[in-house]
Formats: sequence, structure tokens, C-alpha cells
Amino acid sequence: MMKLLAHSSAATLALALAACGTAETSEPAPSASDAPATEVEENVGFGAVADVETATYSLERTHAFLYIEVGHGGGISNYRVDFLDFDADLAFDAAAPAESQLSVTINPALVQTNYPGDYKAGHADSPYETWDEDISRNERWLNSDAFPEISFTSTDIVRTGEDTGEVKGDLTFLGTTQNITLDVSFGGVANPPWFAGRDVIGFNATTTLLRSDFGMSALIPGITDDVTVSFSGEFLQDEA
Amino acid sequence: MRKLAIGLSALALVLPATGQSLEGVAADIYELEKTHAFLTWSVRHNGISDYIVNFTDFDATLDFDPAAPENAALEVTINPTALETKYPFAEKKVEWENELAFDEKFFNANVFPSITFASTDVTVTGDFTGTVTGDVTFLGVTQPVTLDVEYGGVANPPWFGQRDVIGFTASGTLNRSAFGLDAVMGSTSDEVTITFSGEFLQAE
Repeated sequence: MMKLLAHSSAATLALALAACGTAETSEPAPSASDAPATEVEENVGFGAVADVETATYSLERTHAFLYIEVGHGGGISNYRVDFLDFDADLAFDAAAPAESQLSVTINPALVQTNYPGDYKAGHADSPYETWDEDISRNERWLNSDAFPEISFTSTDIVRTGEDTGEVKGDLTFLGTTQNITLDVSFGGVANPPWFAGRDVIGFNATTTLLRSDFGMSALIPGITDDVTVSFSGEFLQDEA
Repeated sequence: MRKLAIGLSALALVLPATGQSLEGVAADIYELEKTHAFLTWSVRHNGISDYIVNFTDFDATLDFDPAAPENAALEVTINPTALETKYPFAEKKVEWENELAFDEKFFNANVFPSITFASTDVTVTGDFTGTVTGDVTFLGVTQPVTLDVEYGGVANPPWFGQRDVIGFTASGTLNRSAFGLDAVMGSTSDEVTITFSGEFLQAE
């Protein structure tokens, strides 16, 4: 449970107390946006890094978003691919955030684009049933049959501001490992009553990498070499 | 895919200089090229992270004159039942998306089966940037919303003949309570961020 005394705002304190005082421990609704009504202003995120419990955290997968974007048509628009199956573990050190450790695994077999219409009708010769499957399995794209996991393991963290940092780490993709840097911002800590005192902490992260560094060079530059990776999501403190 | 693959290879050969230029872009009516178009909304969840949802069924028509972008007119229609969340458990994912689409406290799509945007004012703010203000009609309420727009450039993929393809990225915010959508304010922000990136194809 985060430290309440760090907060001076009466409204914030009221929310924190309300959250702590609720005995419900039911599983989150699909949305988890069915949070009990509270007498507080909107945007309930609060809490500084130092208020977070030093502990191990796991990705709260119902509130986690990871996607990549490439420039399409020579870069005139951004083409977006969402990852649907990924997980992450975070050992978070509130007193020394730079000592934290993050590991992420991504399943490249489950991706989602926005392809409207009947893929097979326009791609009768394709060995794939859907465009998403093509992105996932085609050797020139994610090649997930040969490389069924993408992974990231942090190697070095630098705190750059009160709520910002750089998380450097080894990204293994298509059999190649490269050290990349994520720009990360800490969003705050929450204590939804159904998690019974366990901290939930939010982060946004982004980075840009060159896919050719990992051997994926199909259709450059019609489709840009630059790939932007974006994440927003929450981590839930592991049960003691 | 074969055709597209050949086409994209050709694109790489013939269009290395494609860039953020308005030169040669036809003044014409353009339709959304729906296979290269992404529209999302996001809200802040618990104040600590972004909850991001894709619209997967939407269309748009753009009347665009590169010599006078301020005269552009944009109309968008969105099907609120075509929502894609990233909820990781299949059965609940369907339940949750149906709840978002049809529940009276959310998109209430049985009563309001479309969301529309119609531009009312376009202002050029830079070589390739501008603001597009228009009327959003959502849940029976019409309110002005302003989008920050960036023009991404023009392409002429050979499979579209001489027709121009122009790309745009846009974003804006609105308060959902202004449209009467004030559920779960305790855990979910009133402010909604809308983002778009996609391409428009010159009409035949």
C-alpha cells in the first residue's frame, strides 16, 4: 500500500482512504472502469515514485497496450499493428528507481491491424487466412513460426526527471539482440479496492528503432525502416 | 497480397522522393483508403495509464485543394459498434466490447448508431499543419471539436493509376461529459483523446 502521508491534497487523501477502507476484493470487471463511485475529482492518479511499494509487479493485462507504427506510402501515414499477447515483470525499487528491473515477452503470433473487408477475396494466392496472420507469420515480417517470442530485458535504467527515465535493455527479435532505449514516464499509483491494498502503477513508454537492425528490411523505404513502439499500461503488485 | 507486394516494391523504386510536399496534388474529392486508416480513442484510467480503443469501421470524405487548404471540407462517419479493445481474455473481450458499444451509459449504439464529424472551419498553421474545427454529433448531442492535423505527403502507387493518395495524421481532445457520457468518472477521465492516421484516395 502506498504511503498516504505523502499527500497533502484533501481530495486525494479522501480518495485514498475511501479506497483503503473498502472491503471488496472481487475480481476486476472487464473494464475495471466499473470502479465504485468516489467523491473525488476525475483523473484520480496521484502519488510520487517514492510512494510506491518496493516490490515485484506483474503486468495488469486488462489495462495494457502495446503497438508499433511504421510510415506507409513512403511515410505519408502511420500504419499501426497492435500486439494482443504480451506480459511483463517489473521489480520496482521506489527508493532507487534506477535499480529497478523490467522484463517483457511478446507473442508475435497474435497481432491485430485494422484490415476491413475480405482478405481472402483480394488475396486468393496467399497462404494466410487473414492479413493479421500474414503480418505475424510471413518470413519478411514477424516470422513468428521461426521466432515465436520477442523479448526485452532491461540492462540499465537512468532517471531523467521526477517521473521520467530511460530504460535501456536488450531487445531480442528475429534472432537478433540489440540494446535499445525506452523513454518512460511514470503515471502514478492507484489502489483499486478489488486489489486489496496492492499497488497498481502506471507507465507510458516509447522508443524508435530501425527494423533493418533486426534483419527486417522488406519494402524499405515504401514502408519506413523506422518503427515507433508505444506502450501504456499498469503493473499490479504481486501478492505477498 | 501478391499484387500489393509487387506494387510496394515498385513504389520503393519509383517514389523514393515521396515526401511532405503539396506539389502536384490534385484538387479533388478524396475518399478514405480504408485499408490504411487508424482511428483510436483513449481515456486516462485511474489517472495512471491510457486506455486505448480502436474504431474499426469508419469512413471519411475529404474535399481538398492544395492551393487553398483552408477551404477543405471533411466529413467522417463512425460505426460505434465496431470497437476493438485489447481485453486479453476472449469471452470477456466480446462482453466488454458489447457493453461499451451498446450499454446506455457508454456508446448506446442501439439508439445512436453513428457518430459523425463535419468540418466547419479549417485554419492553416504551418507548411503542412493546420487545425480542423467541426461538429461532432455523438449520443444525439452536437458539439464543436478541433483537431490538430498534419499533412503527411502524397503517393502515387501504380495500382491506383494516376489517382493521388494523400496522408494525414490528426489528434484532438473532447470532454465526454459534454455529450452526456459521464459514467465511471471516478476511474476514467472525462477527457478523451482522439487520434487518426491514414490515407485518402482521390475519387475516380
